Amino acid sequence: MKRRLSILFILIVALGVPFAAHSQNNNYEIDDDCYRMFLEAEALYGGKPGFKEKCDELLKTAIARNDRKAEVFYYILKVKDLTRTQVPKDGSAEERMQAVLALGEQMMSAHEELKRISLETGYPQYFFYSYQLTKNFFFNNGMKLKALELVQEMQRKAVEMDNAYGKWVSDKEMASLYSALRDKQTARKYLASLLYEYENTKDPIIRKQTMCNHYVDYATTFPPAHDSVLFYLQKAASCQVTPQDSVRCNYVFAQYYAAKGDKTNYVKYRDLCKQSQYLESVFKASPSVLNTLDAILDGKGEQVRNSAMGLPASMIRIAAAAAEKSGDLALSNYLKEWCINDSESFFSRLNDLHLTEMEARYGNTLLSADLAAKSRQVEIITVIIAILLLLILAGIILTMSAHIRNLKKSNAKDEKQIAEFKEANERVRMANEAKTRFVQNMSHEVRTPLNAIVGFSQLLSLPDGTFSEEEKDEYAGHIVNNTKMLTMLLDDILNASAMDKGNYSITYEQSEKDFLCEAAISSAEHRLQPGVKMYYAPEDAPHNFITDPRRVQQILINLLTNACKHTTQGEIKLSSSLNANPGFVTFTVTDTGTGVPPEKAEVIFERFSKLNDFVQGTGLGLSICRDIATRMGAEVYLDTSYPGPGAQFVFKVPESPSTTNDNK
Amino acid sequence: MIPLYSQNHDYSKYSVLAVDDIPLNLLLVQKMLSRFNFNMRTAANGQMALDSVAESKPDLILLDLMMPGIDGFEVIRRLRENPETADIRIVILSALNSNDDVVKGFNMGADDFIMKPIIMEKLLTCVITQMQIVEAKRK
Repeated sequence: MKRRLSILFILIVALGVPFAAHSQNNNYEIDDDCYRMFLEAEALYGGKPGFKEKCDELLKTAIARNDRKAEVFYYILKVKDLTRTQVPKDGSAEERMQAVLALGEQMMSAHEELKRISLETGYPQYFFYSYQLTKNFFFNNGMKLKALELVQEMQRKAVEMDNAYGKWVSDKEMASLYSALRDKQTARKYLASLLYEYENTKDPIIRKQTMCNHYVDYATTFPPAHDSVLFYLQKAASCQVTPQDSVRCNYVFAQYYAAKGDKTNYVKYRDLCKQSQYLESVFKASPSVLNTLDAILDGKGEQVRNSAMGLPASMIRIAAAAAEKSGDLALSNYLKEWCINDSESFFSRLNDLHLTEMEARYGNTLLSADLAAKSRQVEIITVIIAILLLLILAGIILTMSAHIRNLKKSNAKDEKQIAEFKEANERVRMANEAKTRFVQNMSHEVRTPLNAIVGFSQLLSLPDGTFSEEEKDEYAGHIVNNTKMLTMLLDDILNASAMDKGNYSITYEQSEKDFLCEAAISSAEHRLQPGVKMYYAPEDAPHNFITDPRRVQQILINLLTNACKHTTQGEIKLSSSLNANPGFVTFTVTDTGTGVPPEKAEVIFERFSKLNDFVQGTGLGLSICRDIATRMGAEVYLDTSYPGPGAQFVFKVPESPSTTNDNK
Repeated sequence: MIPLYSQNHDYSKYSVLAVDDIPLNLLLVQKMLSRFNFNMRTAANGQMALDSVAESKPDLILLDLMMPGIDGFEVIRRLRENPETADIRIVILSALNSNDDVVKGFNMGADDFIMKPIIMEKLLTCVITQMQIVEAKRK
């Protein structure tokens, strides 16, 4: 029986030991292998090779073994790794901040993942743990406001989720945050809440927390030699667990007694501190602090006046108190003033740090958002302006081209106008010239017969006997002839003016062609030059027709006198025909005179044109003839087909007015 | 004063050249000066006038301006250019009556200007004056 019991005992022990060992090692109650991997990975924090692989292995195993808590640990690993990642310390404050922000983004996404998985798997403590880790990361990298925001969010979430542990731990974080920010009042508030909660809670996770540090922190929120410091230090001492806890207690005890000027107790606790190997790892500045306090309490405060300056601010306050208690008022005041200055500079530095953080986080985002918005605005405005400019440019180009086209058109028009003006000017000039020539000519033309009239009249008025009767008859004849010529000349001129105004009438009556021709011949005879024969040779029998006989005669006489002027020898023949042009009576004047070059066939009918400037005549004749002819529906022209010698003029008169257009 | 026409000037020793393209005018001038018994010559245009002068130098030229070919002004210019003929008395008889023509005539070198229609008294006075100059030159 005994043997069976002992074997059972051994079995139980043998089986139990591993369990015991197991539960001792694996406080987290996760799969052993996963725990092992977790520890291995922990050792590779901070970018060491193999870390990622270990993590992935852990996750795989956790999922394989369906250990959800172990799964959470994978995510914890990732977060913790980021917290250990070194942010490069070189570069400007802005650059460092940017690097922190970049890493912070990774941090936040890992944080989100851990939060998610912790809630999913039903381990809300890791939800809040994630906040702690992330807050530490930001705080340690100078982004204290972000750290504060995270803790505030953690608080809110804890209230939302009604999670006692969450609320408790957010208080804890708040307290440590405000402590670090030297806001002892707010820190104390949170610590008080923390401690109260701890003492009165039933939450098992809270109860599991170690409170020593919190009591110590709470104690340090009081002025250095305050009684509450001692009270809470003692509470801390009563719940110390780890060696770090003890050294922390002893160190603060030492400070307390130094501040009180209690050298004996100070020395006691100082020595206890020094005995611990953890002193410097927990309090980096402890050697110099303790030395300073030693000196002050020994009355050798002056020696350490300068080194005191290098202490953390809170230590300087303690040193000041110690100095005061030791009677070294000067040092005490000096140190107190230094504290104040340091406070000011601390807060100003903190302010700057906050500013840098805000600029880095919001300044940039705000700015970039603002900039983005503004740049978008600017873009839009630029595009609009560009479009407007293009439109304006297009408009300008269009108007310019239209303008140019207009200019070209008006130029062309102007040029045309100029050409027209030039032509008109030319015509006017020619007309003026013609008129001047006409007037000159006129003057000459009039004076010539006038000269004969006046001259021969004077000769005739000489007394009897000067000239013979024959001579006198001759002179009288000259006078008469020239009078006629002058009259005709003036008639011509007046006619021309009348022609201009159209102030003459065409009166139609029965006329006989032979009669008209004979009359014309006898009228023109006096112009006949000596040796020249002028006669009428009709082709047909006498013929009656309806016309204006005066005008017909006028024209015939004109043609005949022209022939007389230009014919110095030979003959001038007037002829008429009824058959040459049906419906017309055709008169022809043919001479053996100087003739007319064919190219001048039309020119001679122009006003003021004279074939030869020196042949007597106004030059009006033929133009008047043409005017009258046109009025009568008749035609008068030079026959260019006449070979010569001399010239042949044709005058076609309609048989009756019905075939005419009397444009009176 | 005895009317000019009854004065007995004997200019038979002197020659006068009358130049005009209209024959009637030449006749008129001849008849007007018939009392003076000039040695009258006539020319119908400028060229004939110059030929006549070249043939035999007249003492006085009565010159019309409006003539075909070489007009009166040109005749004067040529005569005045030639030193031999530069001293011939020239009187213009012209229907051109503008001031420009008168001035031009004198500038060319004419000695007098008579406008047509010719007033006989004027012509005779002018001729006598010119003869006086010629006579004076001859001495």
